[in-house]
Amino acid sequence: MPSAPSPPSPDDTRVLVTINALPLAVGILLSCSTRLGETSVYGRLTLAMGWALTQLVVLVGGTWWYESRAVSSREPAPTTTAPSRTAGGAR
Amino acid sequence: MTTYLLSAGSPDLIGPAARGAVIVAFLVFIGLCLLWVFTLATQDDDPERLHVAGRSLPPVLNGVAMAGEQITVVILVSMPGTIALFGYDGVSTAVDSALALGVFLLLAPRIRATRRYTLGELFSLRAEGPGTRAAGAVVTLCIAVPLLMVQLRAGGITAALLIGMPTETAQVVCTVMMGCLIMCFAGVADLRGTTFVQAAKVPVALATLTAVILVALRLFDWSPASLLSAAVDKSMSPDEYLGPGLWGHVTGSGPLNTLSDHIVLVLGTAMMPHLILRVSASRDVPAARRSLSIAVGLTGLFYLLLITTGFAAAAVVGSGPIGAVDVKGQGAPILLASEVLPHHSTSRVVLITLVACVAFLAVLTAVASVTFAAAVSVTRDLLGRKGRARIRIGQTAVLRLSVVALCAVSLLLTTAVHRYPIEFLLAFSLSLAATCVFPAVVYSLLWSGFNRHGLLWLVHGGLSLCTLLTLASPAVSGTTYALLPERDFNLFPLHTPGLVSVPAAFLLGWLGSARPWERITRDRHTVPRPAPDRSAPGARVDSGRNVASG
Repeated sequence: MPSAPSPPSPDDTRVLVTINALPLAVGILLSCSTRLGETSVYGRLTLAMGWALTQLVVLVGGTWWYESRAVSSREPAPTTTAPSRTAGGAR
Repeated sequence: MTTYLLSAGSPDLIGPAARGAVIVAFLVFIGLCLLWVFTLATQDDDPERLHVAGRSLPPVLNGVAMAGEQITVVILVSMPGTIALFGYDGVSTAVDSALALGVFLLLAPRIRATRRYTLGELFSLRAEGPGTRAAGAVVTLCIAVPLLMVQLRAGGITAALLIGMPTETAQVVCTVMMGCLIMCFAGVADLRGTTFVQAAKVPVALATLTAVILVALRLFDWSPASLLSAAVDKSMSPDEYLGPGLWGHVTGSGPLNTLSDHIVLVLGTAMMPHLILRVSASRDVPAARRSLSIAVGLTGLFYLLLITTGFAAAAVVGSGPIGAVDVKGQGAPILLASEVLPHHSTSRVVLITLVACVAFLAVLTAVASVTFAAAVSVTRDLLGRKGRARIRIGQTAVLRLSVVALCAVSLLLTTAVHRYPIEFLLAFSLSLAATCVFPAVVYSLLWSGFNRHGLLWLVHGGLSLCTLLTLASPAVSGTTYALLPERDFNLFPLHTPGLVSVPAAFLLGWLGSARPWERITRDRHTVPRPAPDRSAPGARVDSGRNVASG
């Protein structure tokens, strides 16, 4: 019987955050700088436009990789994020 | 450019020949939709089954429905228009909205693990008490009502364009009629019912956008480069179209304004109460993560299609005519569908009807989801068990009444302010979610020192700051696109308050929880301890009482 998928490791989460945060930071920089963003890269495609589309592709690709890592992972589950009794609980 | 757009006339989008067929097909679709919706109505009284579908939704279904939550009427009609009018600035907005789901992907499994599904319940993770529950409900309502107003208005404008009467009166009548129809749906549906409609909307929307794009590409010999080139040539400013800074409000205050918009869009879209409710309907934590992964994929595809639709609209119709119909470009998808095929052709009628039907589905589901999440919050957080007992009414009845009341209030407000440009309310809702919800959820999930004081400081401080800064922003006064363009009390230079309010909310949460001044006072009145104890990592600075009881 196959084991249930376990949560992705913190390393995988870190990779996912990094590969999305860095392009986002560059994207914000490009959207703030008109001169840099308007640089032509291919035909009429500008650097800002190309980067924005790359961000979309990286997001979808990164998420697919993250999910596949979680499914194939056999590591033990980390501790739950549910609050302790002293932290209070609803209901 | 705005002046030019405002001075232009409003053309007839569909033409008298096709209008009758389009309207009949549209009404038939609405009738079928409502029939289907009423078959999904539930008589279930179990709160868990009513609110979160008994936490039994399969990951794929919930993931598709979660992607459907992103396909709102505002995004569907406004974003292609924004891209057609302002080029890259619209694309940047679309990318930020997609990235928001990436942020939610990181938090959603933790939220699901808590088994809590309203903001009030999440807020009381570290701070139990009626005050925190009420704060959660207030934030939910403050986010939901402006959002509902913008959605209802966009639905009304789209319907008015469709019937060929883009006048103010026709827009109000269409808004009221659509609002009443949606109220009927929202009043009988539960989360399971809305899930099916949301899930059905996604393939219909993706297929319609694909069809529109393919037909547009055919005009440019199937060359995306030619389409982009035509979009640039037919834009208002070809030299600046594919670079940043063309959008009116972005140019005002430079990079800080852009940065603030990015913060609000990414964090605000990720922290909407209806998304939190939906992720709680997953079977377990891995199912929640899987749902989000599916949603990210579908949403990425949706935004890619939306960006292409925007450029196709600019290439086929041109920025000028799009802006002439609506300054915000909300007529772009319908204009594109009506111009991309030859007039008097049946396929043109079919395409326009498809776009109109997707727009109706989008407004129906978006309003129903937001209303339902807000009503659940009212039922569980605001009234609570004691409140319901006092008024001798069951949880289901309270939920239904809340849904109808919320819809009615939003509809009333939308009608009352129909003369004003209220689109800034969308940014206000997102700002509130980014300021009050994101920091509170992050602290609640990740910081054990977060307590009741911190939460209340964060939520109330964030709410007040957000409201004040928005009131003093160029979105409300002092600019041509403001709510009150003839008044000028814009003291805060940014269009959205996120750049100031989000860090301020984090700071308030930390100050309220840690209360460093108490430590200083305590240190003065106590005998100094050995240095290693005081500098130990993770040493608590607040009293145990605060953590335990709030």
